[in-house]
Amino acid sequence: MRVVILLAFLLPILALAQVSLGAVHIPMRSVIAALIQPEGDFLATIVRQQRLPRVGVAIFVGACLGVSGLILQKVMQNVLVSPSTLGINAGATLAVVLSVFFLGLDGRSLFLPGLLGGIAAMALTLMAARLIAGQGDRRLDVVLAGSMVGILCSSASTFVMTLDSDAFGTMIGWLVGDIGNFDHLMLPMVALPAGAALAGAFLFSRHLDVMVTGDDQAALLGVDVRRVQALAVGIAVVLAVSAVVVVGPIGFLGLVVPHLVKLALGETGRATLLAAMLAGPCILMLADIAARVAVAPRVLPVGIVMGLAGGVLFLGMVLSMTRRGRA
Amino acid sequence: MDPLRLDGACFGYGSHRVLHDVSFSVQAGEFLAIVGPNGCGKSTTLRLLAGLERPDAGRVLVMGREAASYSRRAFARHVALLTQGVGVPPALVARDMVAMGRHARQGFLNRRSREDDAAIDRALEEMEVADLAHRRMGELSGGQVQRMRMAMVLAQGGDVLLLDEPTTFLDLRHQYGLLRRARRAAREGRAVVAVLHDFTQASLYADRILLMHEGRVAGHGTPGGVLTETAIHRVFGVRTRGVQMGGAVFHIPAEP
Repeated sequence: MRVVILLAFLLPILALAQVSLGAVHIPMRSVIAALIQPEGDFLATIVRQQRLPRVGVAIFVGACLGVSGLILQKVMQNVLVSPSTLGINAGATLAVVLSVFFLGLDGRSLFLPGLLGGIAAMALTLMAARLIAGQGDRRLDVVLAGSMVGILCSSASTFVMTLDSDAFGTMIGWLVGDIGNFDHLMLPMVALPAGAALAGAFLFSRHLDVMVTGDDQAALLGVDVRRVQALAVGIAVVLAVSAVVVVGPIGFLGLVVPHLVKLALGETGRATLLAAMLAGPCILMLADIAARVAVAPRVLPVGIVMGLAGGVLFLGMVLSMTRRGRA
Repeated sequence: MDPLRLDGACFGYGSHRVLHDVSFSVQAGEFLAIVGPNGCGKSTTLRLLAGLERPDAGRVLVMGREAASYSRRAFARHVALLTQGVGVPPALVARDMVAMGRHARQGFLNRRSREDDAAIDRALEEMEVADLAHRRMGELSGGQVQRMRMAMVLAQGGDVLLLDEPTTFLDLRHQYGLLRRARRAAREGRAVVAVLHDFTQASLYADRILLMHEGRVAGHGTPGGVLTETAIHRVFGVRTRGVQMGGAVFHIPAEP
């Protein structure tokens, strides 16, 4: 629990840093003044209209992707799976892009197509994993299948966008994951399904915990494995898609967060879910600060920073797993 | 009513038939040891008894009911299986794993009861791993992991205890300790079935022996009656000299 309390302290500190740092540096006293006083100067306008929504969306997206990754890793007993490595993010992205291009849907009606895309991509990944299953590590088969599905969906999304780049306007940044450029009206649309999914994760946490012992062992302990797997994957997909439709596909956050949570707290307990809910936003805020400070005054989409950092970590994890497998 | 009954069970993986018409039953308070060469279907028999596989033909009855007719939760309240050493998540805290033994006895939203905590503590004490309970599974030795897994199965309770090569990774002291605990479970009224490789241990702790050969029952009865020189030569293809002493059957190679 100490880890959860530490993260709960860290979150507001990082939130203040995220508001203060950026292309325009805003001193902390101006940040606090902007939070307290209804009217203010130019800096207060930046705080209220640009930086604070960025903080809010980082908290929402970080919590969704962190918990989604943790649930997937528990229920699939695989430290390499996450919404991005299973192709869920890319599937939801493609569905959103197709809905905008062919159906002319706007931001407020993109959750359902995104959800269908995420579910279809997950199903495709699981089917492909069965087809390519060899004698080696099955956990790598799933991730390989997820990567193939992810690459296919991402390429298709880019292709559709290049057909008529004007039609997508600012969505080009969304394609790589950008928390600085989102439709504020989308948050209430996804808050309900994401909230319900988070509540479900906490309700079923004990069943999810038993799944970490493996499918057979969980069945022996009294878990209806198929039902819990379906439910858990459903919750994870809803959470990932809720994040994707708002800010685009942010890779590797759902991979990194469970890894850190397990290091700090172990595999089980509701505290792991709470920690993932807090660690996700903290890491995303750090990445966002880096995205805005690294090449200031220019601002990188946060998805690029997460992709670079997470990609290196992912490679390290695969190498460590294959070395252990050979040993 | 026998807690466990296998009636003409046949089973195969794809076209490879593993079990042929296997029948036996285990009474409450009885310890049955299954022995036989590698690949003769011992572990598959346990998987059938544990409801992890369904027979292609024949029936598996648990407490008089078809195993497949139970929900997994109800089944887990009757039957516990210690599987062969499989990987456990290294970051899992040992006590949390043992506590999972109580999963089927907790309501959907219920937290652990006092009774659950008492069962967990008792199981940890019995397996002499209480002092390791706060450690992560990845920090434990193979023998300690095996004892922790046995503690989880003991915490689960139920009418039937199934053990698949339970003494793997254990030193001699803990091998005897685990088998003594299994025999005590039988004396307390549970039906106990263990796959064992050591004839001496099987004959010393089990009431009856089921000898398996190529997916069939090759012998079933008292240790002295089943573990004969002739039966061992027929099933294992080795000539031995058998000696009975203090209720145990010893076999030494006739040609070392």
